[in-house]
Parts: sequence; C-alpha cells; structure tokens
Amino acid sequence: MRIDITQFSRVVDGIYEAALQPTQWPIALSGIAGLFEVDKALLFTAQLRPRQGGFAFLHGLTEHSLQAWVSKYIEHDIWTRETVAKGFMRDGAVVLDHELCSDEALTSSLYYREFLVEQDIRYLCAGVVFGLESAPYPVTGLSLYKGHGAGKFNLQDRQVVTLLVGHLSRALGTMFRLSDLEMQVASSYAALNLLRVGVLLVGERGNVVFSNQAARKSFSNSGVTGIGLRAGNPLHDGDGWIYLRESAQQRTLDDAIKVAIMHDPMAAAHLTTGMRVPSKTCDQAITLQIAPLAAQNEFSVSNQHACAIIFMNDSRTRFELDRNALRSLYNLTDAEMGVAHVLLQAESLRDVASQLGISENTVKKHVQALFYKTQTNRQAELIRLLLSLPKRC
Amino acid sequence: MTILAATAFSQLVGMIYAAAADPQQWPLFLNQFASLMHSGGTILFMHDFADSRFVADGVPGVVAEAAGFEPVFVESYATHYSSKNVWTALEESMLPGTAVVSEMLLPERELVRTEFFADWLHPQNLRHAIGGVVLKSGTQAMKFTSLRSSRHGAYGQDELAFYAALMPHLQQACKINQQFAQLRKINTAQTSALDALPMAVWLCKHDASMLICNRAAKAIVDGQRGLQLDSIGRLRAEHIGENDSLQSAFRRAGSASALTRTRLHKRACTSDHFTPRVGSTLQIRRLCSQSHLAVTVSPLSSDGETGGFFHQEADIIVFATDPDHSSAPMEMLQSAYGLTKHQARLATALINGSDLKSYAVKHGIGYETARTHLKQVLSKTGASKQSELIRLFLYCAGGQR
Repeated sequence: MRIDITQFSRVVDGIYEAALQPTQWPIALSGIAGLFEVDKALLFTAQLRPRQGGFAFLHGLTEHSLQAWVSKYIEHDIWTRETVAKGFMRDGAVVLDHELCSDEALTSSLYYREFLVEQDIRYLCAGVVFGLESAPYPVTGLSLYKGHGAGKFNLQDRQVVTLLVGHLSRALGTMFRLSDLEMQVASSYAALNLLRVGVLLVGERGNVVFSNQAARKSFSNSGVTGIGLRAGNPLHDGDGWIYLRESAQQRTLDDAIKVAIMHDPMAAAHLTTGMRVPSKTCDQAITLQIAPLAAQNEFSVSNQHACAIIFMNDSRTRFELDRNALRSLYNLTDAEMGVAHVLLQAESLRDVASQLGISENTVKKHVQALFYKTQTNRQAELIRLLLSLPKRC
Repeated sequence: MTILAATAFSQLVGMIYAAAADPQQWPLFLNQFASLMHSGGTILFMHDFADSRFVADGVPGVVAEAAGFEPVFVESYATHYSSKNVWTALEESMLPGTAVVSEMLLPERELVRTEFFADWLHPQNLRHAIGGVVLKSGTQAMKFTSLRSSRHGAYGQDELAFYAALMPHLQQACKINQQFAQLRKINTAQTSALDALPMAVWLCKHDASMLICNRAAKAIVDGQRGLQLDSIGRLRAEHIGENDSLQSAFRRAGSASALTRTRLHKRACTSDHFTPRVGSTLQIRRLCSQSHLAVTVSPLSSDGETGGFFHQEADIIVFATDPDHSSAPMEMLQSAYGLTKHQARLATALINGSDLKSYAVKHGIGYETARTHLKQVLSKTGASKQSELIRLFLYCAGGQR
C-alpha cells in the first residue's frame, strides 16, 4: 500500500498553519478528512465545551448533532465509554470501531439506532491527541467517521491517523504556548497603560522600544510640550528616538541615556538622572527620570532588548479621581472628594479654601474626615494614596 | 511512498516543528536529516546575497545551526569561504522554496577547479550538495544545505523530491519561530517595565489565581507584607477579615461572563447577559507593620483578540502600594536631581508628610534656612508644591528594585 506523500505533507502543513492561525482549524480538519476520503470528522475537547474555553471543529457534522450528543446521547455513547474502559484514553492512541465493541453490540445499541443512523455514521477511527493524563491540556480527540456504504477503516488508515495525531498534539501544544504568550503580552500591556505615569523603554542604541499610553499622550502634543519622537526604521528602531526642542537639553538627555544604558543597575543603583523639560507656553513641565534597567535573565534573541527605563511625569495631566470608587470604598461625600481633588493641585489648605470658595476651617474639617475615612494620618500620605490609584478602578 | 517512508518523513517533519517552538532542537532535525541522506555536513543559516556574507547575528528568531561539521570549518566558512561559495552565488535568483542539487548549479568538472572546492570542500571530503533558499527577506536569505562525499555520489531525484517536500515545513517552522521570538521580545520588554515600577502589580484570572506579577509584588508576597498566595495560587490577604473584602472586590471586578471570552468563541458570548464589572480600592491591614497596604482591584478589559485557551487569560489587575517601601532613597534624590544632602533630607521629610516648621525644629535649623532649602529643592526638581514632589518621587525608586 502506498500513500500520496504530497497530499499528506500538505495536510500536515495545514495543521501547523492552524497553530499560527487558529481560524484555520476547520480548513486543516477538512484536509484531514480529504486524506481518508471521509465526509465526517471531528476535532474537539471532549470534556470541555467551547463555553468553558474548549473547542469543537466539525467537518460534515452539524452544530445541532453535536448539541444532541452533548445534551442527550453522551451517556449512551458506547464508543467513548469503551475507549475509556479499554484504556485507550492515552496520548497518541488510535482505535477503530470494531476494537471497541462488536458490530452486534453497536448496531443494537440505542446510541447507534437513535443517533448514529441519523448521521449516517457506521465506522469510526479515533485518535487521542491529549489523553486523560496530559494536564494542563484537556482531553482532545480526532474522530473520523464513515457511513454504511463506505468500507471499514483499515490498518493503513490507522497508521496514518497515528502520524497525524502526533502532529496535532505538537501543533495544539504550540498554539497553546503562543496563546499564553499573547495573553501575557496583552495583559502586561494593559497594565502599563493603566498607569498615570509615562513609561518608556530604551534599547541599546538609545531608541525607544516601548512606550505606554500616558507617554504617547505627552508625545502627541509635542508642539506644546517640546518633547516628541523622531521616527526611525520601524523594523529596527522601534518607536524611534526622543526629541527635545532645546539642543542643550537634548545633550543632557542623550548623556543620561548613554550612562543608563552602559551601566548595570545592580552595580550602580545611583545612576538615575532626573531632568525637567519646561513647556513652551507656561511654567508647566515634563519631568523625566532616566534609570538603568536590570538585564533579564532569559536568553535574549534580539538586539532590541530594553536597557534603560524612563518615567515621564507630565505636570499638565490633571488627576481625575475615580469618584465612584472613592464613594463606595471610603464612603466619601461629594464635598470631601472636591477637597481631595483640589488638594492634589493646590499649594496649601488656604489655597484649597479660596479655590472652592469655602472657609479654611471647613476645608480643615473635610481633610480631617478624609484622614479618618482613608485611614491616613498626614496630608502627604493621603496624596500618596490618591496618586497611587490607577487611572481607572 | 510506502507507509514506512511516510513514517520517516512524518518524524522528520515533527522534528522541524519541535525546533520551531524550541530552537535548541534544530540539531536533532539536522542530524536525522543527515543520517537519512548519508550527508556529511548539514546546515541551516542566514546568507546575505548583497555581499555574500554569512549572517551571524540575524533578525529575531533566525537560527544558524550546523550538524556534522567540524566547528573550525563552520568558523572558516563564516569568516572567509562564504564569499567563495560558488553555489550560493548562483542561487540568488531562485525563488524561496525551490530545491536544487549542486550539479544543477555547476558541473562537477568546474567545481573541482574552484578555490571553494580545493580549500574548503576537499579537506572535509565533501563534493555534492543539496539545498535551497527557505525564506528570503530583502537580500538576506535563510538557507538549508546538506553536503556529502563522492563516495555517496550526487544526490538523486528521489532525494531532491524528499528535500523539496520538507521545504514548506521549514518555511512554516520559521514563521512559527519568528512569531515566538517576536512575542518573547515584547514580553521581555514589558515585563522589565512592570518590574521597574515601585508599586506592586498582579494580573489574575477571574477566580483570583495569579498569572503574572512584577518584582514589587513578589517582594510583598515573599516578605509576608499583607498579601499571600494560597495553595492553588490565588491571591489572598493574610488577615481573614481583610481577605473577605479582597475576595468580594475580586468578584466585583471579574465577572462570570468572562468565562466565555475566548478567542475562538468570542461571538458566542455577545448574547450572554452582561454584568457590569467594577473596581475597588481597599486598605489591607497586616501583621508586619502599622501601616496599611493600599490595594486597588480593577477589571482588565482585553481587546478580545488575545484571549487564551482554557481560561489562561488575565481578567483582573491588582495594584498595591506599600507606604513602608515606596519612598525614594535619599542618595537617589541627590544623584537624580543634584540635590545636596540637606536638600535631599528635607525633600524626603516633606514626601513623608512632615511640614517645614517641624522639620526646622527637629534638625535645629532656622525656619528661613529650611525655606531656602525648600526653594532649592523645588527649583532643582521643577516641582511647584508638595503634592508634585510626591508625584515625582512616587516613581523615582524605579529601576532599582
């Protein structure tokens, strides 16, 4: 017996394509079905519904029939029961219908008479991609079905399915790992975007390799702030280079970045440089703090890894307190929240009083209440608490 | 192809994809390929057609792996013979994915007259090659080549077909490899940014179990400073009463509807009833200190494209600030803003809530002197008031923790 290696190779390619592009799984599955000339196939997580984070890809089967299996026939499913009972539910196992139960036992079962006949399913070749003991991966199976008119699955079919199950297992494993990494990237990105402070990461050539939302906001208004980004080649230079309007300041910044990049923070913790970039129009300013970044332990594959970090404080940014959160958690009144808000920007309590048009004594009373409710003792502590809250809670 | 040959092919393809996710496994594939093909040396590498250079430090995710060569020959190829390689010069116009044997590029009688043959191939007892360009980007190309001696003869048609059948898999594997490399690079950068933050950050699943945390968060857990992880990795407060409010904050921030948010079945969940998710702020008491941890629990909205399988997705974000560990060390204020020792001491006192008058009394200096110091601190840091000073120094401790 011979198999068409070109077609086999294409099917395997399709499986790994789906690992990169999960939307391609239905195509990969129909490729598998085509290899065996069957018109029905199923690749699914047997114990985990799609609603629970599992998946079910159907070829030639209807969503409706899968639902009927889940809601009613699962307990009558003689094939699945025997697969488990006979110890086939292990990684890489491939089993044919007649190895699970005799033809008589199958055709006389309720499962066959009510469910399989309805789908024109008579023969099965099932491969276990992930068995009962392959946590964290859920039990995953590939099932190929043939109807009455078609012949039985043969030994070669079983051997080829065995080969494919190995590839499915590796491809799904790759997909899970990629998906995990994507998840980590997306969540830490979201976390950095929740910060009020601008965060920039600088690569070894001084180029910006990462910037969060707050930093991009300050850059977007470079006409006023006097700080912007000079784009480079997006492929190699990331976001580009920080550009300051004043050339003297540019030199200070470049020197500070150079120092931060060159030094190991463990050896020289004091090498943080702070500098102030005044805005064009008024006394407001952006403050930059440039510090070396500890090298990651993990092997770095690229020459674009971050060597320094810059925190960017834009004094124009007004702090919007999350009033709902403050109300529900500290039980603050509107007046107290008003005082808290002005306190963040004001010079003194007298200043707060005049800005709000209330007496200084009233302000003091509110501040005492704020201390009490937030369990802080001093103005600085209160301010620090308020400033530490993320942009939105 | 017989089932036996198909099995061998399938195994080899499997090795390619194993290396795609873990580049350290390339030698396994190269050795297996070499033994099937009776090859001497087999190599996967980057070549630059512009200057016939062997690219040692390629773009992210690109490997240079060799099997069956003496290291000294790989070295001499990289430094010198890459530009003498008479075959690669003829491969420049080839489309990625095409396979060739050396005799298709250059007749054997011409090959033996070249410097490349005399000084590099011949000393290794190599004469025949099979190869091609896997991927090409600009003038740089990923090449996969296998070489063998005259005793084994030229590579035949069957072998060429076998090599050609592997080509799409090598291409696919390189794509997967690059995807991993790209994601790892971004992940490393973002992780280091989170690690540099003075506040603690945890990213948790909907059930409060931790997926990711930064360095400051780890320090709080390891130092038993108010928050801990239970036996199955869920974040909890050490104080039982406090833990109840923390857990209810988790319930408010994560929602049951998050259960259905996965990348593949995103559409299925839009019809589900929607529970608004709200964040909370809490003060967590702890045994180690009089001060409280200021903790914020917030829902994390994902864009829906990146949800993980099997609930491995972050749903809730927790920020915590430890007042005992958040102020910048004085020497850092000195170096970052050029403050004198006295100015840094005053700045630290103000950040920690002292006022000018009591500071002056405590340190036995005149009020006017203290005022002068303050003016200098403000002018050097560019802050105009105490709250700005705090805001500035909230992040000054960055990078060092």
